[in-house]
Amino acid sequence: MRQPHEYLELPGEDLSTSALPEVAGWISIYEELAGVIRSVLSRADGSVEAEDLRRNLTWIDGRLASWRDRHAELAGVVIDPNDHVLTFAGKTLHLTRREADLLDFLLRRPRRPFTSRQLATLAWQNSRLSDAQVRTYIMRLRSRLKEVGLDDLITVERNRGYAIRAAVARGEA
Amino acid sequence: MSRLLVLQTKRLMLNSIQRRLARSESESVRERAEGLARETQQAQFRYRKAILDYGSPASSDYWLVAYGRLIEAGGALRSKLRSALGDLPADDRYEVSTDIEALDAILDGWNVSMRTAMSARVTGVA
Repeated sequence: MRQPHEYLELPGEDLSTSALPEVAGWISIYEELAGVIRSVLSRADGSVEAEDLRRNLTWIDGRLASWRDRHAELAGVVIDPNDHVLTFAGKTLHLTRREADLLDFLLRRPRRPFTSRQLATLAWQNSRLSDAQVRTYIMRLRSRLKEVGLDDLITVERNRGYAIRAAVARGEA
Repeated sequence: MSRLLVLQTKRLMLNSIQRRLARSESESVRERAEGLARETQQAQFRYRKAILDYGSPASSDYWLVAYGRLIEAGGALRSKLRSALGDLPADDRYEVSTDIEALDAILDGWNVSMRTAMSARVTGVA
């Protein structure tokens, strides 16, 4: 395997913060590629070509999961999956399970807006929640996130829904 | 079939007007050529979408379009990763480099498969 070229950081430079928007951008392109493969497989499952494509999809899904983890790490927002405690810049916040599931879902899909309906179905697997209920949850979560300096982590995009804002630098709101 | 006819017609018209443009520097011809280029691109998109959504995977036409789309999406990802390589911390650079190598292999495989589909189409074997 080829070794990557070595690049040196400038004194005082923290390349990890500049990586965050890049990683967010790659996630959406990995998702697009995975979507194209899935769409082909949905029509061509059972064909000779399908086996190779499934292998390709397994690799892409694996990389996607890895980059999602990396994005959350770079953003400095960590949510403990067991006790739903959020940690950011040395501060902690105890979330409810619903809040933790919602925030984790959005963090793993940075910059992509989701409507209330999509969040209810995809983040909580509960399509019975009304849009108003979802909005209430989000409003309450956004208010609570201010306690740890994450004001405006969740942005509202008119006519498109809710999303994680483009960059969350370590130690900054 | 109708989308293919539309695409082929647009391409013929575009070829014709591009030959006219090569003979004359007329602004109106240039504008018409640019408009037709956009229409041809849209027709190409609609044709590919129709094949992917409704075409038979038993035919080489389907796989030509499918692999074309896969190569386009995979190539876009690889370009994006390559362009960011120099600005990343060491650990991320290594991860991205290995991703690029794996994508190279995947894209090579898709290109081979696409050439196979093309050969099958030319020889009339489905």
